[in-house]
Amino acid sequence: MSEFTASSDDVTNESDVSGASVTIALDNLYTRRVTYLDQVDAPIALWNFNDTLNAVLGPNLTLDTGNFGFTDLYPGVRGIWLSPSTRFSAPPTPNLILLGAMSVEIILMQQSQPPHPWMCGVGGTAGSELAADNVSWAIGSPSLSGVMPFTQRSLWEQGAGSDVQFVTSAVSGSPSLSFIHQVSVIGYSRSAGGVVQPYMDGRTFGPPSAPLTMPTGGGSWVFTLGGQLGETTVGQILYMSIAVYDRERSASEFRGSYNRAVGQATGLVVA
Amino acid sequence: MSNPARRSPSGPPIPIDGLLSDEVDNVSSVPGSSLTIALDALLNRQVRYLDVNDDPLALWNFADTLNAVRGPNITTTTGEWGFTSIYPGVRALMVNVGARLSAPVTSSIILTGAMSAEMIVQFNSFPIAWICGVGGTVGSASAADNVTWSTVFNPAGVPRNLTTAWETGSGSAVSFATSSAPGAAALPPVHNIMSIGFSRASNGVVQPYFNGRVLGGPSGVLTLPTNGSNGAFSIGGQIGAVATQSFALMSVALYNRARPASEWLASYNRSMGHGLGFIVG
Repeated sequence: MSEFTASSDDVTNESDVSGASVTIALDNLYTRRVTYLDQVDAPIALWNFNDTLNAVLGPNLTLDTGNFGFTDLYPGVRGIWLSPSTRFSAPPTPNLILLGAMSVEIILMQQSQPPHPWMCGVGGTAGSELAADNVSWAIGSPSLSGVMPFTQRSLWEQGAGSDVQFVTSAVSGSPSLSFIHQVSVIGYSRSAGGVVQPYMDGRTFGPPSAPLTMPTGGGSWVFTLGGQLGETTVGQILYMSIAVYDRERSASEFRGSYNRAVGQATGLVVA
Repeated sequence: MSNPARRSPSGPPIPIDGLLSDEVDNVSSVPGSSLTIALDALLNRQVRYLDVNDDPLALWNFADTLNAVRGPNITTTTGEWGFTSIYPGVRALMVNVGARLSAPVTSSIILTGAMSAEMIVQFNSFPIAWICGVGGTVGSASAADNVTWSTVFNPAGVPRNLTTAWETGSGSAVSFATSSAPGAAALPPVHNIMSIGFSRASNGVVQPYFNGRVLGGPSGVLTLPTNGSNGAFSIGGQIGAVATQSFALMSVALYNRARPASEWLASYNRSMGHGLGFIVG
């Protein structure tokens, strides 16, 4: 009688690990690491700063002012490091001018504590009260230096430069951005009704806003990273990925995206 | 793909083609009776909160809550605090400079004999004068306000050490700091998640721990705390004081006995090692 032998190739994988066979599942576990945001949820723009300023989807970025480099946010995974007084911009791109429902998601690491008033967004020249320069969407962290919890802000303008914003609570006991030197995934969804829901690390980042007036105007809109046109970064921050959507993403999509990007390496977040 | 057959000692060959991972026994050290369960266990590895496996008398896991798993809830706060990720996807209590959080006076956690305290923490800056502990009003010379145990972190230099402190008599301080001599075992720089703590034996000998292993050698025999009947569990500062620097605290577990090294090692592996890799004794 011949001795029984079998391989992991012969066994069908029924676990939650991806892969048809146990061999493929084991290989997938073996290569677990932090990865860039992906196109599973069909973003309209995606930048993965893997030693490049070129977009995966959407317009490429160019340096307006300041200095930057590429370094690892997580061992073996590159991102872009913006020094103070830095800004990048893209050529005007109509499909990034989002006046209705939209979402943005970012993988980042802070090198200095907030404030980081403008991480990225679409708008004209800062400080202008012209409707043509209105911000159609932006994300940042406006916290006062050293004040905790660290907040996240969703910002846009309507009318002639009238700010509309939703800032997560700074009241003690509220969710907070993490301390510096940690990989974090942040973002928000804006519904067609003007309700903003912030997210952090695959879960909601406090409660949603009430319905807010939607952005209007435009004409001078440009996507910028680090500061609105005319402004630059305040502190130092590193970005690994930025994804923009022209619809309101659900909580399950933010969680799924987190788990595919960061959770694969650091542990899955469940509902 | 070839189709090898499973052959029992006496039975006929069994086709293996299409065998399911549910049907394959897992004999590895990964938890789970089948391959399916073992694979899921590996996929779900992440940093976890401290548990009740070693029967702590108090346990706080700050997963968006100030309520205790065991022991008194945190009910009094001052200053700035929140909940943030101490590790991607894992929430903890964020304590800023000037903050203090405390529980009501609870006699069961006023420990004047053998005890242990374990915590998972991340420092945002140094030094931390009082991470957590049990005591009455700071600066009091009243025996009722004596600190019965606390974990503090004093110097900002290198090697960075860990201090355990309490009071005896009428506010007489007793403390043990790990060595700051060149080459000594030390705590890491800021923004590292870490497990720290200590065991205190009934004879007053203190053994500090760091990430599941001893942090330097034990103390000599120290005078044990006395009284402390006004003792309240507090984070960031003793009652009357506040945090001098900022940090995040994920879990605190308190025991009324000196835990052995093997329990520290196993506790680390169940909490942080579960996400970051196991260490062996």
